[in-house]
Parts: sequence; C-alpha cells; structure tokens
Amino acid sequence: MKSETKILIIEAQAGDANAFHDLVAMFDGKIMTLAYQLTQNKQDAEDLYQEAFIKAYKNISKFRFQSEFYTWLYRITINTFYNMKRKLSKYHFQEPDIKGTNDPVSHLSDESHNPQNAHEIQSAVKNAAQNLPLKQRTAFMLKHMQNLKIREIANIMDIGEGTVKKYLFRAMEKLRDELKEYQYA
Amino acid sequence: MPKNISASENISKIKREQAALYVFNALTEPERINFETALKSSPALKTLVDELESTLSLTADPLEYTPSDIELQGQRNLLRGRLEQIITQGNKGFKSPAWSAAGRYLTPLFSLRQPALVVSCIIIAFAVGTFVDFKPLSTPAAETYSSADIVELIESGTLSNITLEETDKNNGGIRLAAEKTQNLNVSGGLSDESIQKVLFYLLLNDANPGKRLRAVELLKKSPPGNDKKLVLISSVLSDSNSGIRLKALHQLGTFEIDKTIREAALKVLLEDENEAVRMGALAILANSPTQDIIPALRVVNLMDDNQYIRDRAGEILSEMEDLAAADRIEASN
Repeated sequence: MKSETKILIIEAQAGDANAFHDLVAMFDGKIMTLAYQLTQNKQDAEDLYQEAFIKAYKNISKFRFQSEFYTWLYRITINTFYNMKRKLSKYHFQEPDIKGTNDPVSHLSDESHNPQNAHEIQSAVKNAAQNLPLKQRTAFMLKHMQNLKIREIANIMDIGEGTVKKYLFRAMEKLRDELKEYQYA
Repeated sequence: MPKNISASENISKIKREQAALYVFNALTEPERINFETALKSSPALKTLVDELESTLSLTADPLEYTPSDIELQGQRNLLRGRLEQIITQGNKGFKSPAWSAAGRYLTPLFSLRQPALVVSCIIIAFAVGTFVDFKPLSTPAAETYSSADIVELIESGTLSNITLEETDKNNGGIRLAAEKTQNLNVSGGLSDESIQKVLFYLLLNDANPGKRLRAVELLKKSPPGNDKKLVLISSVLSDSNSGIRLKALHQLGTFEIDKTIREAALKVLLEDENEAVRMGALAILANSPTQDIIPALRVVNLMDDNQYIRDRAGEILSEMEDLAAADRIEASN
C-alpha cells in the first residue's frame, strides 16, 4: 500500500472527512465499475456506490491495514450488494441496461433478426450474467472482469479458495450453456 | 455455425472443472502442465476449452464498464452531501458509529506504547501545564466568563459537549460552544492567547478524538510560540490516535527544528508503532540533520519494520556523510 494512501486512511480514521473524500476519489472508479458489473444497471450501480462508500465511512476505523484498501472496499461493496438483493421487496432492482433496446423501431431492422446481432448478443450476455446465482456472479466478475487472483477473491468474499473455484466452474458451465448459440460469433 | 458441443458432455466433472480454471488462468503450475498434457490427447477436452474461451471472449465486451469522470464527480458530490448530513446528525446528539468504533480501536494502541515514552509524555505535559495559566479573554464574550472560568468549568465537568467552530477562516476567528445549565458561547481570534490555551487544553485532555483533531487543526492557524510547540510535542508523544499524532507532527515540522523537537522526533522514529507517524518524524530529522541523530538513524536503517523507512534512513545517512566529506575537503583546501 502506498504511504500516501496509508496517511489518508489514518487521517480519515481520525475523523478527517476530507481525507476520506480523497480516498473516495482514488478508488471510486474501480468501485463504480464493480457495482455496475454486479448490478448490470446504471441506476442500481449508483445506489450501490453510494451505500458502499457510506458504509466504508462509518466503518473506516475498523480497517486494520491487513489487506489492501481496495480489497476492503470491494468486500464492503459486495456485502452491500448482497444486502440490497436480500431486501429485494423493498429495493427493486432494475432490468439490465441494454444499449438500443429502448429504440421502438430497432426490432424492425433487418439486422435485428440476425442472431449474431451485437445488441442481441449484448442482451443475451447481460441476461446470462444476471441469471447467475449471486456468489457465482460475484466470483465470475472479480476473476474475469477485475482480473483478481483466486486468493484475493477468497479474501474479498470471505470464503475458501476451493469454494471460489467451484463458483467459477459453475458460472462457466451456466454461461456456456446459456450462450452456446452465440459461441464463435 | 456453432460447433457441436455434445462432444464435451462425456468429460469427467474434474476435467470440466479444470478446463474452467484453465481458461481463467487459475490452475497452479503443476495442474496446468498436467492439464495441457491431457488436452493434447483429448479432442473432446480441446473442444470444451475452445467453447469456454469463446464464451469468455463473448462476455468481455458487454460486461465491460468504465465510468466517465463527469459521472464519478457527480457521485462524489452526492456522497459529500450525504456524509455531511451524517456528520451533522452525529454532532447534534448521538455519537457517530465511526467515532465510537475509532475510540474502541484506537484506545488499545495507547497501552502498547513504551513505558519510557509515557513517562516522557507525562513530564512534558506537566511542563506544558505550568505554562497554561489562563487570563481573561481579549475579546469578551456575550456572557462574561474569563477563560480561567471556562477551563475550570471544563475541568470540573460542568461544561460538556464542547464544540469548536471556525467563524472567520481568513482572520482565524473561532467560536467555542459548550453545554451547561445555560448555553455558553465564547468568541475570539486564534491569536488570542486565552483561546489558544483552551485549544491546548482540549488537544491534551479531551476524551473525544474528533475534538482533539479539531483543536489540532485550528492550532495550525494560530501563531507559532513556545507553548504551542510544547503542546504539539506532548500530543505527538502521547495521543492515542495516530491521525492526531501525525497532524501534530506535521505542524511541528513548520517550526524551526531545535533540540527539543529533534529529540521528540527521534523518540517517535524509534518508538511509535505507526509507520506514517514514523515517516513524518524521519522527514523532520531529514530537514535538520545533526550528528546526534546518526546512531538512531543507523538503528532505524537496520531495524525498522518498514522497508521504505529503512531505505530513507539509509539515504539520509549517506547524504550526511557526503556533506561531511565535502566539508572536510573544503576545510583542507
């Protein structure tokens, strides 16, 4: 961890809100990306971003420098996401954002009937990702989209490395099955 | 046309699992070598790996997302507003969870400090105490209380929930408010000796780290002086909160580095458990290198837990040796 980050964390732990906002500015790009990949929807991703950072602010004193700060933020974001999903009845998650799907005439174009159409593939991939059980989706996003190591994912998800591997395997099996129509597109 | 995927269905679950981890590059080196050997001899396994790789490459673009700077800035502003609301609510009555958690976490740190250090703190704090005799405010408050009365009221516990507010950022005006049977407000400037002494008292004595932090931040704008220097040294050596120690240390760095500051910085460098604070102390010593710090720098160069601090101590030693060599050459000429 960089000494600059360490100093900001210590200052934030002492109650310096500006130091906390500096930390937010350092890491929020990664958190917003992860939030979007988990929710597949911009509105939900923004809500998740806000809730995760508020939780981080309230709990920053519990950060003990035993992991990278971004790993700790990832863990908070993921736990917040799980809590939000659990409160699904109160908190309605939106459908995935698919570019072009709101266009009322898009289905009329010749291109849209081609199964290899980019919008259709995008829609299929997002739906397939959304259909993955939460933990499989989390492990898949952290590995495939965030390029983290199995050990890091295990640490973030607070599970064993073997369990992470199981989740990845199951996620891949499901995605392969759901997207077989588009393979080699 | 999609390839026939039924060929992979006869592959064992273990191999399918390995295939998934293989495309994620998550196999160990021996596992990968074994798997690649099996891959060469099994067309069905090869087909499965191709399918998995195709699936992965298919998902990469649709799931990729990079937020724009404008979007992030908007979210940061919203977050800032929400946190300010939380902080304000915390100040109005209940203790914010961050503060209470900080207190729980940081208090045990104090007990870990070296006994010698604690003794030094007590001696310095006692010395500081002799300077802190309060005189009436130069700018009287609406309710006429002398600062001696105020400190007495704070010490006796009659005043509670003391808050500090900056009323004039340019000229260093502050307002101190506290709860009593009746509300009490005191106004004055940061150059007022009595206001400074209230801040000294809060920095050294208040149990709430938030108030100590506020006090040390406000002291930054007050004029330098010997009392301020001693209070900051005491805070650096005794505060249980590393963030406050660090802020006090940064302010000490703005003073002319004399023997007292150098000795305090050496103590911090050798004994503080927090790396950032030790780095701050090292920065102070690097700005005023004298021969008497060499033994301590050698110890730090060999023994500090932090690689950066060890290296930096080594660099300062080298710089000092270069300067000494240059002086010798100049003298011999």
